[in-house]
Amino acid sequence: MSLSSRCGRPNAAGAKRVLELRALTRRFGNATAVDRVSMAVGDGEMVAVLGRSGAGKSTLLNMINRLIDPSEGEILYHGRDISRLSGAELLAWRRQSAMIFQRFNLVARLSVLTNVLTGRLNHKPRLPKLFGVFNDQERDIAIDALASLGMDEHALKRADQLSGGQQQRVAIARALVQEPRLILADEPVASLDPVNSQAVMEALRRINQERGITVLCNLHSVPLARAWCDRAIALSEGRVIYDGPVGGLDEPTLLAIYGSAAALTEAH
Amino acid sequence: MSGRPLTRWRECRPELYPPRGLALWRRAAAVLLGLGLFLWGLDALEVTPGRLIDGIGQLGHVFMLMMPPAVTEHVWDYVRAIGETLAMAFLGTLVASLLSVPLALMGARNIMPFGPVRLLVRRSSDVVRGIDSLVWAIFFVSVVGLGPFAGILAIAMNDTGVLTKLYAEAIENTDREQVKGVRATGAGRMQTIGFGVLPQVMPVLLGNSLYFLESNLRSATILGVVGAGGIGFFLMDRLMISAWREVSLIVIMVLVTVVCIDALSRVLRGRLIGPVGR
Amino acid sequence: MTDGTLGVRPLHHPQPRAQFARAWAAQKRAHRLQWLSAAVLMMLLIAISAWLGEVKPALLWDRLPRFGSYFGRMVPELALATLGEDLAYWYWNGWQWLASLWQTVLIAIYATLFGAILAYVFSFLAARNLTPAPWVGVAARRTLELARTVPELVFAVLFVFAFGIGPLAGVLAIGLHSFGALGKLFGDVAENADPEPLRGVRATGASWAQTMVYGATPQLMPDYLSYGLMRLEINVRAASILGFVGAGGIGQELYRAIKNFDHTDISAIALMLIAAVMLIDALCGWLRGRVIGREGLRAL
Repeated sequence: MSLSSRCGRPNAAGAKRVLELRALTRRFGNATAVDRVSMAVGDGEMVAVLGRSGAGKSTLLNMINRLIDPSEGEILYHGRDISRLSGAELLAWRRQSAMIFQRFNLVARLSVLTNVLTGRLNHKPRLPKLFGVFNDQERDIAIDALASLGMDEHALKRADQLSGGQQQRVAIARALVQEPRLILADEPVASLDPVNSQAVMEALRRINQERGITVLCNLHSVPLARAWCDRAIALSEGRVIYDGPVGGLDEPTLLAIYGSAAALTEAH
Repeated sequence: MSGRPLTRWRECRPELYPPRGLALWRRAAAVLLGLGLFLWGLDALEVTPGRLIDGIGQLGHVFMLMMPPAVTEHVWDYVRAIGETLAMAFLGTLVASLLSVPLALMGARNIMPFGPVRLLVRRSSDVVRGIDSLVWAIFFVSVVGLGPFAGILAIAMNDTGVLTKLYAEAIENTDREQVKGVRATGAGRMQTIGFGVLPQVMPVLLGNSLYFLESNLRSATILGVVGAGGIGFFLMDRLMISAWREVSLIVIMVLVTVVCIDALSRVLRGRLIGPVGR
Repeated sequence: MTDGTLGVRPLHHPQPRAQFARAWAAQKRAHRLQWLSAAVLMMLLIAISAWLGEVKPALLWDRLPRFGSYFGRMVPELALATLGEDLAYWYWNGWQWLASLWQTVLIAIYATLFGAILAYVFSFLAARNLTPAPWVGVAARRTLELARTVPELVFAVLFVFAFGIGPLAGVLAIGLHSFGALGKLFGDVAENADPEPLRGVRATGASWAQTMVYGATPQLMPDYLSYGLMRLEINVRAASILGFVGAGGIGQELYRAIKNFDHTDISAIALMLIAAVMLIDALCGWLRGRVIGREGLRAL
């Protein structure tokens, strides 16, 4: 069943296309995790990336942040080729494309505040930070971010003393202080219960709308995509099979994405 | 954060910021005190920048003199001496490993109920451990004469002290449940130890013994300095007459031997711990 | 079925049971052969070593009384009535020895400190999962191997030659060796680090060094400290004998006493040494317990 009729250029009205992926491919040995993916994301959009586990969503996001390097293809941001960056420019790009992970990826033994401050590591001054010295201004920024997510009262607690939902909000605060242009969220709520999932998705949406930061969100649940995102891109076996507004996710489309009715109900 | 005014959190949440005022002075004073102690210690150790710089220059000079290593006709003496050293390390470790098992059992809280006996065993092993094998070597040389036998005894002595403590701790850390399981089948005391305790500690014992073989090889290389056999004698002798090129030859030979034994030990540990420690 | 497994079968089927018994016997035979050959190898090694090592158990048995006489000569004359003076006589040089002992402990502390700090840095270069480039990892591991394989005494003699007689040579020799030993231990710990915090920090755009400081160090620190304290215990023993070659500390006094056959001096010094070592061991053991037990290191 061809879905090409449902693919289009569904940018929010007049939004400039800032992130472009062109034939992006990633192979691991004989297996192709991401297969010639091409897509474009507009400034300030909140895009959901859907698909079964193993469809290539994580690999895709990790390539955009350059934690993994692409095998082929290009990633362009405002026309700049991200896939070829190295050295200081690469680090700068990672700062600008903040990542949020499914398992939060905080440093367990460090305090909440210090974890958030690690988001400032790529900002000047760099040398004192090797010794744990951050200036007052940066602390202000970090505490502001924590406060905007309701986490400032936990600032001195060790990160592993918090619940999952709290840790993810700290992770979002860390992403915020990076002053990013792009937020890449890799299954941000997969490990959270429904209440916390709401809180985290709501925080991401708020950041997207109030600060105009583009958000790319890997999601395993279709209702979440419908509730919080403007647009959805669906992957199956590394290839894009749907690229359009969340409204266009009807029954046949979803069946194609998830492959079977059973898998479909799981995604609900 | 463009467009949002920064709030000054310092007033309401001072604990999130580095100390100011009196607290800062106190911290600075503590740092200065630490630094002072550090420098005072260096002075007590007669360490000055001048000595360091001079010394490094001298070292460079010596390294030049060491190249290339001289392969003289003494090479076969060295080979035999290294063989002696290996023998010393091997037998010393073996004897110590065997002796330590019964001693450790006597020193373990869950096996030996008599406090005084335990105390005696643990304290004596502390004493024996506190004396370096080099000192034991001197002692044994005066008992059995010059030669590698003294070295073997010295290593065995020191190691028994170390291994007894190690094994006793391992035995004390065994899982009580497994031991209780064996006891429940009606096993007697000795059988309980043999089937309940020992199988649990065996991987630890074997792994440690192999690790100690590596370590003992290193110590054995210097025992010759006091006449207890092995390559140490030649090493010291050549060093004392500043025959640098032969020194580097000996050091390289020792290095090669140690690296080989380390690799062998790692392989054996992998194969033994694998099937045994399931 | 002839798969040889012991399935749930009625007992009157002899075939599978016989097959199982045969397979078991064959396995036991192979096993026994393995053990036998290992035992033979062991016997061979022991025989060769005994020959090379000039092992003469008879000699030891004969000389056993010497043990006693040696120790006997070391025991000082202590009478209860004159205990004070006897002790003072035994420890006639007590203050000097105490000073030397203190120097020995200082040597061990500084050597461990320098060695540990260098090893900390190198552990990240050597660990296969953390190293910035494969060749750096190889170079770092070889360097560490060299540092810990050369015996401390060799370094000590070299350094005495270069830096002169005195504790500096000792600190450098033990420090260098500790650098190698700790570097390997630290590296092994580092290779088992949890990769998630590392990715989290790296994703913020942190440099390699920053990632090591914030992503790796916090999880590895308790183990590093524990190994460092263990090393301190070992180094005090090492420092106590380096004086033999002029590298400072109580070794010098001990060596002198041994050469001059001052037997009561030997026992006096040995006793002080053992007491010091036991004290340091206890202190380090307590500290290590605090470090490992205390799961919450002060948050940075």
